[in-house]
Amino acid sequence: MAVTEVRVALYPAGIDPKEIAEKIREKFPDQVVDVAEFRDQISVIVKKDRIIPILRYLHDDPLLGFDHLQDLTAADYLNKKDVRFEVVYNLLSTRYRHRIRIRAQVPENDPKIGSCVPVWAGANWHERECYDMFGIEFSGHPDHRRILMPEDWEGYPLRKDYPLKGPELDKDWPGFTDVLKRSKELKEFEWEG
Amino acid sequence: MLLDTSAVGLIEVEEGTKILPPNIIITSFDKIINWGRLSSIWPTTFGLACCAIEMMAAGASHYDFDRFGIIFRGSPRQADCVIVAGTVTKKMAPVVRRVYDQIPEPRYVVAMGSCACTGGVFRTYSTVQGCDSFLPVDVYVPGCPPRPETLLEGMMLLQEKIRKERARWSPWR
Amino acid sequence: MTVRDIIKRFTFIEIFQGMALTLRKMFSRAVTIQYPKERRPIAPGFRGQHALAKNPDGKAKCVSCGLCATICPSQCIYVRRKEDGQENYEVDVLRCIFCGFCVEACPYGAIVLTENYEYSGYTKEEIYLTRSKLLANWDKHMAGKKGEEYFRKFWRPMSGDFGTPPAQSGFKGKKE
Repeated sequence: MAVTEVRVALYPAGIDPKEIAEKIREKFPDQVVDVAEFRDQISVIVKKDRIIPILRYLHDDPLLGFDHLQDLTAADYLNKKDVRFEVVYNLLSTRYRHRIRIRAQVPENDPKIGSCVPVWAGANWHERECYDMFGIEFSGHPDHRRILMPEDWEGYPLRKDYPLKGPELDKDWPGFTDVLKRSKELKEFEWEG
Repeated sequence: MLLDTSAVGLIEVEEGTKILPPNIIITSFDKIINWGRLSSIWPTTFGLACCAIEMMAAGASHYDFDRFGIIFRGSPRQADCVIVAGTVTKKMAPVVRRVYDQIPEPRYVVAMGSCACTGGVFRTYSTVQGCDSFLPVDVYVPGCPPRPETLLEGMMLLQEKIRKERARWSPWR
Repeated sequence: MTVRDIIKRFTFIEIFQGMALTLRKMFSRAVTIQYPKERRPIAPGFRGQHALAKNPDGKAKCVSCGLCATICPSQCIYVRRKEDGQENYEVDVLRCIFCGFCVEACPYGAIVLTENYEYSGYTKEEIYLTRSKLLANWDKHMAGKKGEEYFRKFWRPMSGDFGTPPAQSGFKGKKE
């Protein structure tokens, strides 16, 4: 308790997320598409073109001070919204303890967005996972590879049009089908009672 | 053919294959060698997921694998058996197969837990639907995860299987 | 290195301390449970192998409504009622994750998870549970007062009476 009280005394209390959204709208009037509210959580929907200046502003502004990228992920709105993907940034200011959610629209035909690794270094693996699962490319990423799936895996598994059970066996990942083939070849050497 | 087959008493089991019929020498060798094998099943230290925690518990002092002569070995080249403990993902399947390939004969496979047996709750793109698709599984141990007792029972079943083997030691097997 | 360390090193005092601990443990009681002969008592609410409940008159309580098959997260329960009233109830135990949702969902308390955990096998077919095997499991592990009490206490079935449910519309099975 004591620590919290000291912090409240030293720093002003967090800004209302609605005000933060208004600040972003003032600073980048042509970039903000919409400000959505769901269960008292404010999310600012922006265009993807100037996402890095927006995030840089949120990070560097002394009154906002979003120094912690809590999560970076994407959402696939197949057949639900006009723009298919949205890259979601959950931001937290550890100094002022206020939060905001930024959602950047990424169209299906050009799934590319700027990398925010220069802003928060912790975004490195998040962006790799996002690329692995959704196929969204982060231009300017220092180490742009898949992180969970094998390097030569085809398709992006968390996309809504990807089948849950994966590809058919003949189109499966070659590393796995090789194992199946080899085990079939070696079966004749196995001892049977 | 150097030997007169009728004098030794070879019997023909299939086209062109003749074996010695079970006699007192073969069956006593069987008994001794099988007893030796079943009393010292050495599995590799190889865990994949949460089942490996139960496998460790079965190896620790409360359940104590060592009573059965089951000692975990760090290298598959010194081992007799691999306990596939956990979810086998497609990315991990080549590794599991390589561990199995490195084990010298005679070798056995115990599939431990729902995920290793059939894929379990993960009917997804990244999971192998049962490790018996690329390994010859000897014993299936159900449970999610199995109790240490269940794994011990599975190893005892494997011992019974080894006890029933006939002439696995001969070069003409 | 101080003089103290040198004395410690040359008198092997730490080795002897360890050996003394080993010697002391030799006379204490061993913690190992000699498994096939003695068993650890099962914790209350343990979820083991499945069984289909029977009435006192020996009839299965299951009405093939298919709620358990619907709620099963690993989709390992196959329920089907044929036109001639023949019921088919199969559990693929090797896919089951023993969450107990089927027991909670059942309105008649017809499926239970027993305290049995020793059912490993050499083949998958041995472990696969058909309807007759499930009913036999009830007789083996849950019949009598102990099983009924265990069931009431830990599964809190929705229906208090354990009578035969009236016939109701059957589950025709999911579309493949």
